[in-house]
Amino acid sequence: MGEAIELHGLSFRYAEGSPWVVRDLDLAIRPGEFFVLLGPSGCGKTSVLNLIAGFERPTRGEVRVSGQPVAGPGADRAVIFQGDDSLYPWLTAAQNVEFPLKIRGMSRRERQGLVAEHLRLVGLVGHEGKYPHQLSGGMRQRVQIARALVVPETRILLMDEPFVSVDAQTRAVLQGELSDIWMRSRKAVLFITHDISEAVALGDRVGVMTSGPGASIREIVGVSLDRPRRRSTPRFGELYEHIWGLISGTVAADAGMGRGSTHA
Amino acid sequence: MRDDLLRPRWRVPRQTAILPRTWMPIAVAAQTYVVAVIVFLVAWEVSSRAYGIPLLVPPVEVTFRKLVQLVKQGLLLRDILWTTGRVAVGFFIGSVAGATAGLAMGYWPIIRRMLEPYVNFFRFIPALAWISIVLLLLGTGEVARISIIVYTSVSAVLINTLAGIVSIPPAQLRAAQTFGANQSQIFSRVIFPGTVRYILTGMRLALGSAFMAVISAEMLVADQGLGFLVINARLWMAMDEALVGVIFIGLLGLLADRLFGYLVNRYAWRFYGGTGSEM
Repeated sequence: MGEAIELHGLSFRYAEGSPWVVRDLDLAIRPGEFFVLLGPSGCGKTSVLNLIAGFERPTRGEVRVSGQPVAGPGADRAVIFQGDDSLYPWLTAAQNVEFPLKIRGMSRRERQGLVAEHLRLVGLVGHEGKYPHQLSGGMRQRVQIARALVVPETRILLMDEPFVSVDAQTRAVLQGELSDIWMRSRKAVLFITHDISEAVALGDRVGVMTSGPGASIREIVGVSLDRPRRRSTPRFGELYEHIWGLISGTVAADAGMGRGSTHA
Repeated sequence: MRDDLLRPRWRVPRQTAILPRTWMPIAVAAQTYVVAVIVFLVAWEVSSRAYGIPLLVPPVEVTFRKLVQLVKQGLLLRDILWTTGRVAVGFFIGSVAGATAGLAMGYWPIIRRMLEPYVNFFRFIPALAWISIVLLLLGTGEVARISIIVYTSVSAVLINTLAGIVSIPPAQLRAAQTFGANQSQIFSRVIFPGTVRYILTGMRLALGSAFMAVISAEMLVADQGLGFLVINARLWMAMDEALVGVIFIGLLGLLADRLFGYLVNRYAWRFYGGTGSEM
């Protein structure tokens, strides 16, 4: 079986003559893998996700999903957006989750079963009838996750810093739940973050990006820790330090501070 | 001792059992209105007496008797119905046209580029400036008067609709794309519902200008309507009659606005995403 996502020499810029946002990026994400793309703000992480999602077209190079070149957005790739304004404020939590099923013309009975099942999966039982503004930031991200997973064709989850705007405690809880959901569903995940401990807590592999413009991947770090992961273990700390070394080297070097070797 | 200290010093008044709970806010609001109306009437009466010429500033009682007379003759009701009918028809047509054009302009950039200069050109030409042209082209009938109202309603609704489409978060459109929504589904399930609150804001503004326009049109050319009542009163120097007309124009506008706000809060609240309709 082929790779879930393949990027070959991927380069992107908004217009001829403008700076490269992403440059010569090669990457393969395996089916069922949890891959984290880690990098500082403005390094082009979101652009990589938008290219895979099909919202943007590569300037050069190629994006393949399940072996097929990407022609545009599709139901095989669900996106969890960074903010919570991708939810429809005029629909309840349950209606938001139902939205993609209505789009595909699924019958009412089928829809109700799937919606109830996925609201249960993300722990939103009892909140079905609430509107997005009546839910907390964490609950809104749960609705987004349910809405992404409810689509039967979804094979890949593309998550763009989904927990960045929720408080630290809620974030830790959501990370744990996401791990559980992922282990059960075994869909490939591309998770974007700038938070090192989030990357180590979640990923099978962590791709550390160089800072932009013209970003690519500096090094891929394998995280061979058993799940559920505990942040207090020595191995977690070592990985954190190793990745921090890569990132701080990147940032320092790009800031002209000449921190020598960036490869640990 | 400590209990005494903890007890509130003044007692919160207990719910009186005179009215059911849900009626209380209405009763309180009504009180405020009654006070405001009394203050207004007293100020009117005082000004009338201070001015000293009842023919020019008629006292409250004289105006009220005129009101009763107009009601008895059926003239007031007739004029109110005519004015309301014209506003309703013109406002409805104008709102539908404005929302349709706004949605089309928001959805198709080419239509937007084509029409945008025209929108901002006509926006600055008041309805009254057209009246001679309209009368010559459309005659002096209802069509002329209603088209003036349509004209003023369109631009407010159109501009707000356009602003609404532009403000739809891109993530909402992208999410729909990832679910495989086609263009017409994106329009009917994302763009239109996301624009409803803006269309309604435009309609509320348009309602105000519709009243302005209908009164002007009736003053210039009509045989019925509140605008006609006022302008006709001038010919007979019937200040009391003119006052009755002016007051009822205001009352009618107030009522229409409240009704509109009530309908929005009752049936369209979910489009406001918890921010409240402010209506």
